[in-house]
Amino acid sequence: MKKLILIVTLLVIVGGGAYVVLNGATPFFRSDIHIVKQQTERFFECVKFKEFDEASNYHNEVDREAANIPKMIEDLFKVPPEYLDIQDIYVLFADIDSGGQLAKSKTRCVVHLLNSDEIRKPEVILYWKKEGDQWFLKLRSSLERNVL
Amino acid sequence: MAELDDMPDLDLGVSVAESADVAAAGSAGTRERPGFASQYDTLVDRNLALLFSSFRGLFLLLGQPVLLGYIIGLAWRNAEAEPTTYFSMTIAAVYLGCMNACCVIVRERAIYDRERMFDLSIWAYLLAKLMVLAVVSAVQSALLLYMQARSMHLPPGLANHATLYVVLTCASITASGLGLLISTCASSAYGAVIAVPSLIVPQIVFSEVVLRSHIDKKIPSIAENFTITKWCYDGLAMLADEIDGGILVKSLAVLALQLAAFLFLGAFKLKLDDL
Repeated sequence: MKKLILIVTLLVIVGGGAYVVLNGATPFFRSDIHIVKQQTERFFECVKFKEFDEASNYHNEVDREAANIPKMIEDLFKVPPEYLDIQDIYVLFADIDSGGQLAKSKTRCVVHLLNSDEIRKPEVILYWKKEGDQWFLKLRSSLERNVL
Repeated sequence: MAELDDMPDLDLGVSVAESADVAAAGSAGTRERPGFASQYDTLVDRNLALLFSSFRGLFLLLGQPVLLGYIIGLAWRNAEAEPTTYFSMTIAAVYLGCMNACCVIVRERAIYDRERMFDLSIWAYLLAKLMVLAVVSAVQSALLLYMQARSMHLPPGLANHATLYVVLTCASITASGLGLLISTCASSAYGAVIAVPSLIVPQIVFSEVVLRSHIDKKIPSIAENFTITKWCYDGLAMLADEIDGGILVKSLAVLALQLAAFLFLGAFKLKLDDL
């Protein structure tokens, strides 16, 4: 029985460790997929807390100047940002192309529309491009695709 | 069977050779029989030794979930899990659990019969088998999920992953209970393997995913409640939306009840064989 307990303990440690590493929870083994997922989550957190300046930092300088994030958010959710209460954000998955330069991440948000008192669960796909060693959000191609 | 000869003997107090000496020495020479816990410990060690005795057997045990997980992942490559994905995972878990266990008793029946003559506890024997099979199921479920996750998108987050893992592992352990029952009833390992599909096919047929609206008819709706697949599928399919604690607890509770029923039936069959 002691052997079994030892084996189970080892399996839990190895399995748990592998899970933590594979999910990018350690800074040492973080792949592009984990970075894209993390940036996606942070982007929506910025939108959730109406921190549009930080949200705009997720796209490159050219897009940053041209994009009007509150307007795009309004177009996407069909309500002005002040009527939008994002409650939960789930990053469903992230995919990277074979060249490792393009990525997309799918997100499901639980939003409360304050003007109509509705709860909706829209799914949004964000598209990313790697420039240098950083991932930038292709904000227009992402947020202009309304999937409500 | 040659592997079994190398396994640790179950020290039930009196071996076959000793019993003759003891009989000659009179009742004063008898030793006390080991209790349930002692028998259980020894049997778990023996089952572990059996598990690790054959590299080929171990490779097959670990290779099957890798292959099945790869196939399911390939079928839903780059896609999100949907109800049929969860059903495929359910079938894979039930198949693995049942196949792991279906031969474990019947292939060492001669040893069991001999040790039973020296007060081997049926429950210690069955629970020791189940304990090791449960660990195998836990490892297989992890491999199945890992291989799937490499190709397809499983529901994200620790809570979803934990739910997937726990439900699949529990279903696989329950299926191991069914496999043990088959093993107690079979007269040969070949017969046990043949019996597995006969019990798995009804679990596929009497399911919501296959029968769709016909599942509401009287017989299918009753039959479905007795399958392992229904409760495992219910526990997984809710992840398409969000985790429902009530459904999860109900699914796990029914799986535990089914496991208990299989073990009681297996113990009853072994007791009947004593007569």
